[in-house]
Amino acid sequence: MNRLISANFARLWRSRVFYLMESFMAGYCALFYRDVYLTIYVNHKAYRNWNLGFFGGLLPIGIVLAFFVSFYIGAEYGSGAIRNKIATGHLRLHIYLANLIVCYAAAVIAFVTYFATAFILGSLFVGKEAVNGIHNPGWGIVMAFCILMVYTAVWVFVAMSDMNVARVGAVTLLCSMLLLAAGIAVVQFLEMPEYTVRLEKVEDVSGEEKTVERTVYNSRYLTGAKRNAYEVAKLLLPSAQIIDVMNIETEYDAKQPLCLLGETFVITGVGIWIFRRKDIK
Amino acid sequence: MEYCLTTAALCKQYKHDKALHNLSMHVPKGSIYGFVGKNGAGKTTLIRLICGLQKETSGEYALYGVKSTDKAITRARRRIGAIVESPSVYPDLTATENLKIQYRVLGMPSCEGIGELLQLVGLADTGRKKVRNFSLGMRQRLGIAVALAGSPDFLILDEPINGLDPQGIIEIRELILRLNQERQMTVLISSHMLGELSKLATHYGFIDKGAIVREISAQELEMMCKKCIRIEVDNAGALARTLHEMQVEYHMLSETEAEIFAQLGVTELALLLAKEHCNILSYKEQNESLESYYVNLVGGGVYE
Repeated sequence: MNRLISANFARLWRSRVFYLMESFMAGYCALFYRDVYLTIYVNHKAYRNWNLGFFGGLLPIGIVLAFFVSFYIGAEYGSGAIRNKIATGHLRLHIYLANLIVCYAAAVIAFVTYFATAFILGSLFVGKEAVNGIHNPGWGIVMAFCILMVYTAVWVFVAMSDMNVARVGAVTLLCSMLLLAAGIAVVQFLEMPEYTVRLEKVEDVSGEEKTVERTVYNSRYLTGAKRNAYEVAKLLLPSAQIIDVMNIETEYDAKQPLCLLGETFVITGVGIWIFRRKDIK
Repeated sequence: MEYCLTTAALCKQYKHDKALHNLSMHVPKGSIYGFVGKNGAGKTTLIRLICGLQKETSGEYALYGVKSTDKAITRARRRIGAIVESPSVYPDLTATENLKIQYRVLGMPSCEGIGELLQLVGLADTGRKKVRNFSLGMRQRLGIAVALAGSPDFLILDEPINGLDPQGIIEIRELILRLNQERQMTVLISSHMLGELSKLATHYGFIDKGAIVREISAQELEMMCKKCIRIEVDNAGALARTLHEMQVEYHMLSETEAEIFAQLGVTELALLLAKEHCNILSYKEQNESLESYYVNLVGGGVYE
């Protein structure tokens, strides 16, 4: 498998899509810090959530990775490289894993690019506060690597299961957007308060109209099995975990990375099972 | 005879479509095996099975004596270089970069020999030109160079001359002949361009509807296709004696029939046979090419 990994890396260093992904991540980070700069120095407002600055790169990474993986593995199918690797006596298991490893490495490099850009720009524009203000950076980094792993496993699974590059591109991009939307929705539903304050106009004894605050039960608040289902969804959706990583108030739990790792193993296992039985044209 | 590839009752079925049906073939070591059949006959399907891209429904094949059901088949495939349908090359890389990647895939310790390979296929001066800007012939030759990396013993080429211009066809033909003669490489070429194949192949396998219709050596085929006179007489012994005395090449087909591979005057032969009291019952000139042989074989519907 080392030979395949070495060949895949050799191609990665020559891949335009990879450098495009890198540039996008650095550019996205620069745009974010431009906003931070304007908030602090032009609008003279305080900026508190430095997790957003350092882990904000995870937000578009699902979409960016979908784009990269569909192109990178699509080129493997399109150019006949997968055919060639099988014909020269490589095991399908090794071909799948080598692609997964190199795509994961590309994802990590893209995230590190964002992180490094955030570190440089944060230090330049804001100073130590930007770096020291990160809440629980160790956990954040562990979670980030796990999130990248799940995303890579999912997109590699889709790309290795279908030889049609255009279809894979469309499916992965659409799914990445749906995943992001689903993650945001799940977190929003779970974070809904049980009670909300409603302003009501009431007439007092003198007949005068007054506005009063009234605490009312939130009918959309999730309870019981429905809440449990949403919590499981949150654990499994990498996009929902990203929202947690970007939040400075998050308290981490070992369950979170373990769930993401388990998910990666299951998706990869199924992907390998399908790929080993696949008729390649 | 030693074979590098044999198949026995190989079958491949796609849902309701039988692509290969009890296919049995034998590719001798050191031969250039012309694998002939019309589109959809099952040529590419067989190549896909041999290369491990697809799994056979039933039957088996053996590569250098290693059966397809054996785990060692993966190792045996390392002796193969193949182009299946289209050359396996990355369009956004140069010819040298493509070969460097192939060397890594094969686990070659150094990139020595890349220049020689490019020289061999006539792409030594392509420099930094990306493969996407190559002509079809150049891509095909690069595909062959990729397949040749690692010096395989057995080269499988699926329709290597499709879409090539006449110059490209000549170049590919000369390259294959050189590889076969200089490196003793066994080559399996699938094609339906019979004229071209006849200039290369030492053995033929004719496939139709997923089954091998006939396997024949080029020598045997040449004998069968030679311009000949088919003659029917009432005294085969007299005919044989006469032809022997005339020192012409002939082949007795039956007790009364013979094929004569020479230009003979009808009167001269008739006079000589008359002296031997032998009557000519029929006399027909035949001129069969590989194409007409193939058409007779596949189009006829009945196979011997």
